Amino acid sequence: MTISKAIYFPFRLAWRQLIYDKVRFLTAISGVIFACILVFMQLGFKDSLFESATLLQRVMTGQVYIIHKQSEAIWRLNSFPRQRLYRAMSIPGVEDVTILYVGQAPWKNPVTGVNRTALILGIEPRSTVYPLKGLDQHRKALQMRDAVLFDELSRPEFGPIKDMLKDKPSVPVEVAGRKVDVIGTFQMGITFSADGNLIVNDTTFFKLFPMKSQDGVDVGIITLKDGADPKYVQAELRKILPEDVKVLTRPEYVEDEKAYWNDLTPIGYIFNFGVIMGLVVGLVIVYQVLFNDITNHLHEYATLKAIGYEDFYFVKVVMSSSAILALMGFVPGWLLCLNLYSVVEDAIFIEMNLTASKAFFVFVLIAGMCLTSAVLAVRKLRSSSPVDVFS
Amino acid sequence: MTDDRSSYLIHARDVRYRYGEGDISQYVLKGADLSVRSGEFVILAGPSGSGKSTFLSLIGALRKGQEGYIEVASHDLLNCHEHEMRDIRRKIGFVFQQHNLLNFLTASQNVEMVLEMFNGRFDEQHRKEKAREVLEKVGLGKQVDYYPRQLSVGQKQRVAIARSLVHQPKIILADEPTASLDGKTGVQVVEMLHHMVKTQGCGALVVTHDNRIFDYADRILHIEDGVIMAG
Repeated sequence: MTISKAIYFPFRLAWRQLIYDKVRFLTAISGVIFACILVFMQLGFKDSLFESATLLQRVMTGQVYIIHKQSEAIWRLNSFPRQRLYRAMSIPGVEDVTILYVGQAPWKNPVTGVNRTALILGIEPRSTVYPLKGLDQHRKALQMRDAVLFDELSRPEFGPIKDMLKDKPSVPVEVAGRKVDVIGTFQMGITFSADGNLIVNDTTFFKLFPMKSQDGVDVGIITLKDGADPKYVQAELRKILPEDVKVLTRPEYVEDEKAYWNDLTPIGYIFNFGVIMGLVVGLVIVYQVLFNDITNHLHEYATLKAIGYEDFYFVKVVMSSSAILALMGFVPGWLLCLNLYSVVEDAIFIEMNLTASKAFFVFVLIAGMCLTSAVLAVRKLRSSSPVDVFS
Repeated sequence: MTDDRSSYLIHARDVRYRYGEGDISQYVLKGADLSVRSGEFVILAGPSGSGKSTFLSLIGALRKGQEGYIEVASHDLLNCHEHEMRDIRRKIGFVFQQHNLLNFLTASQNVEMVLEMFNGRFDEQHRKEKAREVLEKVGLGKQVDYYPRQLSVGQKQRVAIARSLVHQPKIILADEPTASLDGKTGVQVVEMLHHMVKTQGCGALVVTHDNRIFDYADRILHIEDGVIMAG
């Protein structure tokens, strides 16, 4: 038997068996599509959580970062003394250091008066480590007292700030109970922890957060000279700094932020659980279809075994059925999710990307789910003995 | 008739078979002898529980023998491996009490399934032609593309016969082929089997209770209490 025929014949038999009862076939495919959508959406939410949560870390151009050891996430930072950061200047290869202050405060919608919590980034306006769209053109104006830049990708509940700025140079708003002026916009994007973002200079930041120590640094950003090795600088910093701070390269800082959401909050667990539930539901549906196919044709399979077919032929039939269901369920599931991602993006204002690698990963999961169903269902084939046909 | 073993398609001597082990074992075949030659249509009759099905499953290489001697198509069945038994079964045309056709395949596709087993030997076109040809022989030339649900019980049994004959087996083993058929259709089916045996030169062993078809037999044997006797 040639290999192609050894695969083709059982595959064709599986196909004919599946499509014979079209309603059942569509039901089975719907089950796989359902599992596919569940998995895609859960992974999409999880990835968008990670992507949005690490947005700032991925945007900033510093190569090495210092944060307090007890800092958990960008919105749960502990401060460390600024002297620690300045000591970095003594390390060969370090070009510059800059400080990022981070806090959360209520923003009052200037139209409706409703409060929303905003993430407020206090920066040194001259620093170039934040290549955010729109920031450059307002760098000078941001040095002014009480000047605020508003993230135009914030949720609409923050008010039509961008439209209001078309008519006048600044929009007076209330942040943390204090009057400030929005003098322009930038683009960053919202996260699961903040519905909107603001950028202020360090002086304005401490006006908004008077309880915060001016000696404290939330994130120390270190820019290296061309060709300097971040790992070397990291190692040197660890030698001279006490253990109450974490010294991280940029990729490590991104992973550290992800680890918070994945390990320290229930959110990562919930999304992972959703993926597993989707796969379990799909597995049960596919198993039921394959098991019924075997059960309904036990006598026929026994007859074919009696006339000379080998047992493994029917294993291949069941495996082929599972492969067909995986493929026929995945493709429409994937196409549906391309649209669903856009719908969800519009609803939650957080970017959701259905990348090729994610599609491939989901296909592997769905194929694995169908294969597992087949392996479980194949055990029923043992009930089909050719001896029984003469009973 | 000569005793030369080489002229037999089926040659069974002193076949014994028991179910169970030790004290609770019970012999259902107690020294069964039977031979079938090429071109011979042999009927084996006997009451329920006489050992017919067990004997047929041993001759059909579906069950491993225990004692005695069984030679089918020049193969010693008591001394062969599982995969050899499967190869021997491919030389036999089986007709079962139930047609056991795959409901999702047409009559032609059900018949072609047997030829696909020998897929190196027949290309697709050849398989279709052979299936059509044999279905025409059993009177179903117009129903080749019918699904089993579109066929009567008798027509389904004819498809099963076509399936058993399409690869031109040397031996046909039929278990109650008329059991699910009305009298007229039953006779037609046996006539057809008889015709195939006589024209293709194979040997047939037909197990049946149906005395309406006894006239077609070259020999009628009776099995009772695990022993085969001439009729």
